[in-house]
Amino acid sequence: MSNSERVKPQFGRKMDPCEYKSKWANRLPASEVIAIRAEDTRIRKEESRENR
Amino acid sequence: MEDFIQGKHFSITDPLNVNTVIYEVNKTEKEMAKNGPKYTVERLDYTEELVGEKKKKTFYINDPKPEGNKLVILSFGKEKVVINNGVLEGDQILITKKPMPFKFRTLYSEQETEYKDVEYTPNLKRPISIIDPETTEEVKPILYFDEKTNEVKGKCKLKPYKNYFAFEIRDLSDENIRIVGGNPVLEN
Repeated sequence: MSNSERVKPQFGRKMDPCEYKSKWANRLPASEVIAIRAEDTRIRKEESRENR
Repeated sequence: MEDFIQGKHFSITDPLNVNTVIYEVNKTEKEMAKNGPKYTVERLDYTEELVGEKKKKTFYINDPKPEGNKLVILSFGKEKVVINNGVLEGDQILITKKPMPFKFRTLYSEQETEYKDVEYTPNLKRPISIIDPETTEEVKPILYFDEKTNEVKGKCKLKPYKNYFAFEIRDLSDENIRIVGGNPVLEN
């Protein structure tokens, strides 16, 4: 990760840039990641996503 | 009544004065990328409940992929945003322990409250997302065609002397993610 890259402002007058560069979490050793449980989303057949 | 399974969900708890939003990012297929963006970002739906003074947010991934769903996690605080990544793999979300904080440039703000139109020429292959850190809502540009320059231009309303966070995906592979972000600053 580095903040050093200069980036041309895309809009506005100034844009203080930052760069985030990282390996994906699943490519890192277990000691460098936190694991959170993901559960199945169960939906009743007649329910829409909006009513969730 | 019969239930069916549609995707996965997971919960995180935001500390006080922190607001987390999560985007799923994908590389566009080669054919599609010829005329459109190379990468797509889609914000995850969430529901939230108060647990004491903290907010427990449950995020939903509608379409879990066998190769994993790649996530960009942005946690907005008062003066900074913390950038991190995560991947849904099977029944777990893996999140790195090394997020990157980005401090907003501090500007004195008391008098100026008027919105300003900001014009820019969007590169449709590299869409930029602009977020208001206070509400975490995206600021959507209005696109229009400028006959003088023969270009599609974007216009969005930003408040001077107020923080915004803008970011775009610069590079995405199965191994790495590279995001360039920043704090567009308007000055009179």
